[in-house]
Amino acid sequence: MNLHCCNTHWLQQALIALSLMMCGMIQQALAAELSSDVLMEKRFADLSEQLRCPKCQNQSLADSDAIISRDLRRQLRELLQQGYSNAEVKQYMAARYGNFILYDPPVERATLVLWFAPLLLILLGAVILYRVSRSHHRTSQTEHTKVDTLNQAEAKRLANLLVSQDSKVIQVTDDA
Amino acid sequence: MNQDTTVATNWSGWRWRLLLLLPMVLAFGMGALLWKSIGTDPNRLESNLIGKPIPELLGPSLLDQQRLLQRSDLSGQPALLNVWATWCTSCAIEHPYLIQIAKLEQVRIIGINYHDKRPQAIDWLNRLGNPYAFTVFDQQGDLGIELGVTGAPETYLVDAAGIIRARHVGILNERTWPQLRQKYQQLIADVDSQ
Repeated sequence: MNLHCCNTHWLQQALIALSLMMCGMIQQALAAELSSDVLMEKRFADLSEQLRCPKCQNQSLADSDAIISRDLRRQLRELLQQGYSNAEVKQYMAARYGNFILYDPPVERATLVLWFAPLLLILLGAVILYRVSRSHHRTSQTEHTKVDTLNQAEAKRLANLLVSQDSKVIQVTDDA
Repeated sequence: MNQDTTVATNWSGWRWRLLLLLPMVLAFGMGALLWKSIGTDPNRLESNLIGKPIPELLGPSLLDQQRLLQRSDLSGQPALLNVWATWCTSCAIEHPYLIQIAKLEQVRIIGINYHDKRPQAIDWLNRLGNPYAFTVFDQQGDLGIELGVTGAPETYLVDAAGIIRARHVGILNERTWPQLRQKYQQLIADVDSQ
């Protein structure tokens, strides 16, 4: 009886230990699966934001409720489950719907202007600004030197003017 | 006088000032470009699949559930692939015209019944007439994705080898068919000359 009792006790403990161990293992496996699901969901959400609905111009696949967007979201999920990389997904979509479907069109010959025109215009603007400000600077400088180099007659006239001005001022104060 | 010559050699005189007109020139150019695009349909995108073959496997037949339609069912003739559905109101407007060109001009038209219900679609063809040599039942839009379909109605011109030659988004009618007809007749002539 006593022995029997102890035996069951031992068995109980073993069972508890075993189930705890299995709990841990299951939890670990679940966590792994969950995290890969979460990762997949994240990629799905990101990609459906980065792809444009081919029917509706100003909406991403994620925003749009058009039939085609629903189809493409379903297809996107399927491609991800098949192990397509993000780049491969974009390639797949662009092969069927053109670069229109990508919010970031790739740098190609046809899109060079699109990518680099703004940069060129900014550079051009900077050059113009620089040139204009420099020429302004130069003209104002030349005007200064002109004033500095009065000839003798001009200097005399200026001095006279200044004197007469002074006397006028004095006169005015006298009157007051 | 002296100043003028230095200015000219430094490229900051009138010639340089002309560059200040550049923004205005660009603005006018932009205006002209946008002006030109007023009235054109932004939905009309050139297909990326022109020059590419249609898929080998098209899908089940609408009228014969057991039959699986393939590229070879084009049977070596140029054809129009017309995407339609019973929920699509423009398709109802387009339908009589398709019947007309199928009958009067012997144009081979293949239907793609897109995101639809089989009984309704069959009923539609029974009621309004059937201009299609055969119709693919594309319930999930899978064939649609392969062809780059964005909605209905939409029509693809496919040559005898099953290669996409043109795409038309919207209704086919007296106004829109002639452009496509020209290409279609060219393809027919190509087949005949072989």
